[in-house]
Amino acid sequence: MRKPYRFYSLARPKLRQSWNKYNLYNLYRQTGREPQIRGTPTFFQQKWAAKAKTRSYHGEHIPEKKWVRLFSRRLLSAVDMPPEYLAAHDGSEQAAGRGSGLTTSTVTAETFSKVPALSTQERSRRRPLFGDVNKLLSDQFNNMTPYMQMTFAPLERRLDTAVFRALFASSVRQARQFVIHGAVTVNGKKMVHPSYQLNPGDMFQVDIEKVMYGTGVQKEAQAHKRLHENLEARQKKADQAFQNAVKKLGGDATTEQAAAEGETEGEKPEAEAEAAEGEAAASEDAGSLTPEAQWKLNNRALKFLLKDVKKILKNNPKDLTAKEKKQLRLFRADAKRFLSHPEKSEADAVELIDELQLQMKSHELMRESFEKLDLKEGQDQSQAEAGAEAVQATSKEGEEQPAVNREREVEKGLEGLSDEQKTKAKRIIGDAQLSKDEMRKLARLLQYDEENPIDDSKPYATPWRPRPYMSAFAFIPRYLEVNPNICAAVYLRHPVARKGTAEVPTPFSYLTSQLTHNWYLERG
Amino acid sequence: MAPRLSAASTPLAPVVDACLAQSCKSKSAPFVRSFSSTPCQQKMSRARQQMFQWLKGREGSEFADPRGGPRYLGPLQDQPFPLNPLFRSQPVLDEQTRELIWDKVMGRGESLKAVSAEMGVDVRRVAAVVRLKEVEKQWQREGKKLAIPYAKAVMSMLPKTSYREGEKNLPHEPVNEIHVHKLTMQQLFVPVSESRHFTREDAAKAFHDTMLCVDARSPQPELIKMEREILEGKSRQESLAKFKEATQKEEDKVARRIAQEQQREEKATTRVTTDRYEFRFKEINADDVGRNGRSRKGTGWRYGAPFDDRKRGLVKIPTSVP
Repeated sequence: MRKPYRFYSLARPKLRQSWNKYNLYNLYRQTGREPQIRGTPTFFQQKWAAKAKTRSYHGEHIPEKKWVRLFSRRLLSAVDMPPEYLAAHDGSEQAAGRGSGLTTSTVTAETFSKVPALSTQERSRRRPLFGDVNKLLSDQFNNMTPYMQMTFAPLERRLDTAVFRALFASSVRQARQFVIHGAVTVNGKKMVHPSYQLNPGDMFQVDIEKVMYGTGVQKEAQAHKRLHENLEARQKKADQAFQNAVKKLGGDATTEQAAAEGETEGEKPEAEAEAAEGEAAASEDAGSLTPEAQWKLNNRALKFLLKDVKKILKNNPKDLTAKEKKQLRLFRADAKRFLSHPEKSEADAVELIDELQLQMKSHELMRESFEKLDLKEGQDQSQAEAGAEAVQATSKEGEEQPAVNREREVEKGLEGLSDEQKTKAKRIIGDAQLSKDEMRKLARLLQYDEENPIDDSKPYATPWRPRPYMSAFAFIPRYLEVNPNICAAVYLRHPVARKGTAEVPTPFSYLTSQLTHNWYLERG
Repeated sequence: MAPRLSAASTPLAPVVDACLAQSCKSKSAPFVRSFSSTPCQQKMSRARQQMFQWLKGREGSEFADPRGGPRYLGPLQDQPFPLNPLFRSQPVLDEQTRELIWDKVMGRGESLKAVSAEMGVDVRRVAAVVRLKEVEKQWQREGKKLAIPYAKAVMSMLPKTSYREGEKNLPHEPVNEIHVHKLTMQQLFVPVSESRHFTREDAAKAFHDTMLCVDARSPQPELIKMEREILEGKSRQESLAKFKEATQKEEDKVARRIAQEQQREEKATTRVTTDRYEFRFKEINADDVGRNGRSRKGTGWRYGAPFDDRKRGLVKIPTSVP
């Protein structure tokens, strides 16, 4: 049916099956309450009003004719019969001695039940209306089986309603759309009829993307503009810097080195980083370079890659700041480029880290081989390198040890060197290398981020968050068993009423439901 | 959309001044003026104001971003609808418990009824949990992405029951629940002599000749038997072992029956594989369609029998999905 004009209204409020905030507010101010009896509304008028109210919530998208055909006056209920009671008594104690005036048999099935009772703890106490007759009338219903609340139970069998009740859509109309659009399967087969009546044992499954869209915060236009601008700028700079670096390397090795020294001094750290990046982006093209020059480029790339990550790793993955999260995402993009993955590739975090580790190892091996070859370098330089190497060896032995330990080892390994050399060696180890422990931590961090990534191709706001005001409506009735991980649920049985509770989620009081039931009984 | 000027906060004069100044300044379009000289009305009714006041207030903002744990409107803690204390948000099984159920059934091979009795979870729910978990595991094997952020958010908003192995736990729900039969919903007066031992069975007989008593309709008859044995003086462990054995045997029997059925089916079909299709042939008896050609057992359509699958007024929506 067409969605009525002013679906959510404040002037003429109606309750709806939806998580809308207008609906929440209407629920809060008790829109569906039975009016205090003033004047003399006829029974017909009372029934009509109650029916109109309840039907605007229960299946308002279903034509009245169809609902009337679904209506059943046989209301289901169940009783808990603990096996302990059934074993201990054969039921004769209920009848024993009734004739001779014995009416105080305290043995009932209920006394044997061990199921936790419903809470009676009040969260907030609102000032009760003085002399509320309706409330006085309703008090007794808590001690009986509220059959009248089961009036709309047949509607809960419908597929669209069940999808909504399993928290896979934010309103019944949305659930209905999901079904019609073919996003719902029943027992593994696509079901496009929202009015399909689920049978006990049916498993229905909704497309995860649809569920995330339905229950997530809505997407804003250009929400991640800044991030994308940053990424693009980075890539552009990197490409240019790479061209420059290649030119320089091709010209003169010594000048290049000098330039690199100058850059590392802190003059233009950004530019250096970009140069390194660029190298990573197209290492294929660098085939013409000498291996040593290539190694140097690689070294700088790695250094840049791990620049921000070291800082992030010190924190707990659960409480990263927004900036750190952004850095992590930038790192992911950079790492992908460094390992020459395609931009859009869906690399697993673990895979990415493994590859990175492999790269680092080979990088380290290359460095060692260079050192063996290259004995002509300055005395102090080689000494520093050797010290670094020693540290490397020691740290490799104690991979599992924490960072503090490693720091100490570094200090130990660097004994006998001047301060300047020490800092240099530390930079070499520290910037271009991560210990296994740190690697593992980084992998965990990336995985954590990957669970809920920023992805502009999605139709909802990323990273995914539940939509506001969802928690007030978040309940799953017992006749469904839901697995939210795969967005699937099983319809276990038809909803039933028990003593003091009814399983049909309805926002109306017992009196309203009673009047409604009487309307549909059609007894004048 | 251009920002609206509120009527109350800004007097008219500066607006007009600004308009004038702008129109004087721009030489390219000297007659640029706002369409109306009066600032447009802020369309915010009293009801809307009150609503946003509540939404932005303490209570409303709590719902907007929940801080862990369920949060409902109602006066009672687990009551989602303020007017209906008869509907409560009942706890669901948490992630670890569902994993444990799956492990017990699939890993350790315990019977569904035994797991149900031990953990206080309905048998049908135990079966459903295992079924859903199996699908989840299959997804993980296939490398399909799960809805982890959604699941985390939802589970944080719901009340949960968790079962810890080796500890004392409250049951999740009644395991031996019995539907109230239609015939028992009427009041019945049966004159019985005072000396007669009038049991549940007799009561069921009084309602209807073929009606079964509660013990026979129970989903867990073995459990009742076990309790009875305990009351007779057997030790709890002994009777529990017996109960487990009985349920296991029953389940094995069902499994065997299903396997046999499959085998029989397999025997009755002849498979012929070509490079493109696999043909499956079965013996069909044409007389199975019955006298009017509409018997459920029959295959195909008998010549002349009306075919209603496109008729107006007949419901085409399937009633069950196998």
